[in-house]
Amino acid sequence: MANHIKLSHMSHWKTIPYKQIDNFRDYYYEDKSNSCYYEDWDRILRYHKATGYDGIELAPWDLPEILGLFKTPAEYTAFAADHGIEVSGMFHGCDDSHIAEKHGEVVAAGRSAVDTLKAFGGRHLNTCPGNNYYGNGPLDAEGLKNIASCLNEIGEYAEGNGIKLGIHNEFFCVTNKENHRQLIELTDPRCVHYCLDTAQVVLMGDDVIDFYETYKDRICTFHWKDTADLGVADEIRYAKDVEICDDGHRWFWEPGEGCLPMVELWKRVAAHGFKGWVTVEDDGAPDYLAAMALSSYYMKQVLGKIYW
Amino acid sequence: MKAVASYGIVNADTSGPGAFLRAAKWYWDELTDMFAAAGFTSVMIPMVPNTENVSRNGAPICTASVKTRFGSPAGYLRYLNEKGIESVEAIGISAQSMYNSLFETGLPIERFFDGFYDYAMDAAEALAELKGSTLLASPTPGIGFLMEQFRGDEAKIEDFRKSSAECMNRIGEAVRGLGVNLSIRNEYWTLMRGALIEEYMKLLDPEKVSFAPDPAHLFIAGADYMDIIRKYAGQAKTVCFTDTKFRDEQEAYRTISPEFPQDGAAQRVYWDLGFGDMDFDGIYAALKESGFDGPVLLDSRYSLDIPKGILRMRTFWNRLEKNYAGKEI
Repeated sequence: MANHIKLSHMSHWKTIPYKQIDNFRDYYYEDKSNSCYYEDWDRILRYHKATGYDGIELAPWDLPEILGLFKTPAEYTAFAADHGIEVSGMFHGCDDSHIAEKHGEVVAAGRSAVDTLKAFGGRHLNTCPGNNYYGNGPLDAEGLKNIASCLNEIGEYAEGNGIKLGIHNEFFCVTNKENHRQLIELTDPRCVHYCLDTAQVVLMGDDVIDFYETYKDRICTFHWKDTADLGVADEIRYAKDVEICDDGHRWFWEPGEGCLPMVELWKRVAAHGFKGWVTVEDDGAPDYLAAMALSSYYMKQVLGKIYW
Repeated sequence: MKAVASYGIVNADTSGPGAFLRAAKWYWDELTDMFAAAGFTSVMIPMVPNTENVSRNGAPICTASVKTRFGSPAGYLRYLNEKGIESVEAIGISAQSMYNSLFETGLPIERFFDGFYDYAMDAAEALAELKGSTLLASPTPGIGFLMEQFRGDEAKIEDFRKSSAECMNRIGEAVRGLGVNLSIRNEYWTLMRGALIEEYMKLLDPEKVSFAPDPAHLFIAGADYMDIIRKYAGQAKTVCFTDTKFRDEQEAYRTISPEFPQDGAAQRVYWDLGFGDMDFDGIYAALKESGFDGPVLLDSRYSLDIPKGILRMRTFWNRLEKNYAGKEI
């Protein structure tokens, strides 16, 4: 196997409260519950390695707790490395980027995220370009330009620090079906790349194969996940708080459990000779460990036989 | 005494089996049914400040998520009533939650108490619509967090403590106009802990703020919980029941992970009610003797098995009442 691909997993565990549970057996006997299997970084990172992942993508909302436990990014990175795991990247949100007056603040936050990720030894700053559509959309041309301007500036700083800024468009984001391709065109290809979230673009109503073929040279990494919803109605995407459905409907599924043409897309990825991090994102899964294993199996045993 | 079941049984923040589901409304629909099925007709809801990230939650974790899903707190109460829950007796607010939200909101620490006041008033207004009686506040962030924030400067931490008491008095005054009581709770890892409670209480106006003692937090802080409960039972508008076996031998209370001790032989703090070491039969009797007849907030905090924990909470209360009745005879 040539090994062009490194497999990472997005951290959606919620706050992991312990660095290490030393008294694992005692903790188990306290209530004979499986909770102790899911509460420390030591075991969570072991699961990453055991289920075939090379990396973890950090969630910025977990950083205060991570830094509380590990004191410095370097200490976390070393702890992960001891488990055979690298930090592949971190998510970032460019809230208020469409507002011209907020430009400085948004860029400063973006630069700070770059610095943080660099300290963790990560490579990909996967960046949601703006706020939710609800309460902010539709954008006018000026708003879109403001977002592009923020991304360009953060991207330039990122590039200078060895970090790849990849646009990560959510299906409920203020940049949406009608203008997310336009946003890509407005940004500087030298320093603003794209993190293709395979499910998000389809939920928006785009064609993932066509999107990949159009922007394959801009794609620096992936959020690889499946969906069973091919194009979500505007009134849903543009509504308030749509990501977590009240009735339990899942927008996202483990690769192979939804309807996306994963094999076809992967063949295109192979034909283009993509090399780098592919991050599985299992958000919404009821059993995160099972989802990690299921996803890894599909990536390595189904797609990996085509290209890896 | 009135048994009030706390939604604090669910740890909405940390990892665990099925953790992601706890943010979904359907999950809380089922939990609400379970509380009613276990015979609870009144609940306490811990709420955090409204921020964009938590507001999208389907859990009743802040007033914004309640308003999005139910239109208003009154709409939420109608929903609860239909499920057999008659009232939201209390809403819990916490200075630590306020402190945690600073990361997302960017509010500077200098404006902490303005933010906390707004958060408290927003919760109290919701509580009034929910026909509840008690705003339960944990008045300061954790000692470990304050030590970091003020780089160990004891004088600044003391100023912060005094400011927090002023803020409590201000909130206490304001919520009275809404027909709500402000009660403050002790947590072993805040400045309102153990032996510090007496000093803190001296800073408060008893007309505006009462103390809701919590035995497990007193115990962990090394205080005589029975003595303190007896002392404050007369002024209490409500009391908190939390259980524990934890002994803080490594001073976890001084760390920024006090509820999840990183070191020591025991790393679990809270136990389902009836499964720890607290003498609740004695506490119940002491409260009865003092003439306390208010709501008892049953807080099987962060239960490891929530449906089971709800049933255990009912069993705990039934046994407590039965044991007391047995002794009376």
